Amino acid sequence: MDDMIKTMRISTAGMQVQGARLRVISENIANADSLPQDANGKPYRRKLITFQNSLNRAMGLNMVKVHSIKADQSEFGKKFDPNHPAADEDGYVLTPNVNSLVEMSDMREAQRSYEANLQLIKASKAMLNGAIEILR
Amino acid sequence: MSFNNITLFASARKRLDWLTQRQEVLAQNIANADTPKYRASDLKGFKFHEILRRESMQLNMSASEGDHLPGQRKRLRSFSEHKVRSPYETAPNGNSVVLEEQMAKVNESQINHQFTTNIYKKHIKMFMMALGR
Repeated sequence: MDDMIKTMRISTAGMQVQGARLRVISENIANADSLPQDANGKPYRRKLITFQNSLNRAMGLNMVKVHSIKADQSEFGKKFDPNHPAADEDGYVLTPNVNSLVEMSDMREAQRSYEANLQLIKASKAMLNGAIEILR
Repeated sequence: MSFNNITLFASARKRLDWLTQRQEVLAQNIANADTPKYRASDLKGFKFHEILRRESMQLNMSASEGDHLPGQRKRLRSFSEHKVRSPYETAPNGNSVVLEEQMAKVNESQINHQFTTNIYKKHIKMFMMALGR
């Protein structure tokens, strides 16, 4: 019985990190148009999340957790808008390095992984109930 | 009378243990479906004759007096885990978990678990019948 509970804990950790990933993605999408304030400023830089499987000492189990949330180092885009307060001398404004298409597909992937973890919890629960049924 | 000395109960219990442990391994794989460099693992297949051999091969120290410690050899994890050598596919970040494959395995263990618990229940019913209840 204890082992099944452990299984559910592992899946819960999986759901948690996918939730964190979704949060980062929503942050990226929400800031897809965050332009700089002045000519020297920088626009919003896309964030990347990575995971890591590490030992949780309290549980005595390997559980997945967020390893780091780092800035994407790819180049900013440029947009011609000479009237913008942040435009440089040539009239270009830096735009965030967020590609909404990439974010959307990333979001779908996070959603699928989340669902897979959820399905596993359901399966474990069904198995546990099956074992309890023996008592009846 | 201990239930675990009856062959069918004992082997059904072993099978359930195996399925439970496998479920844990699969949960680990699915939770790490997006962890870089994570390699999917699985349990070694459940082979009845191997389990039987291991059971009969295991020699425990016998105690000649009641105060002696039993000295029973017991493994923490009864079934061995291994990394899958040739996975379906490996992502560019080194992750070899394929969600579909893992879900199929989860389904498989779920069905097997149901099957084993039903056998267990049926066997109990047979005992009940013999007891005339």
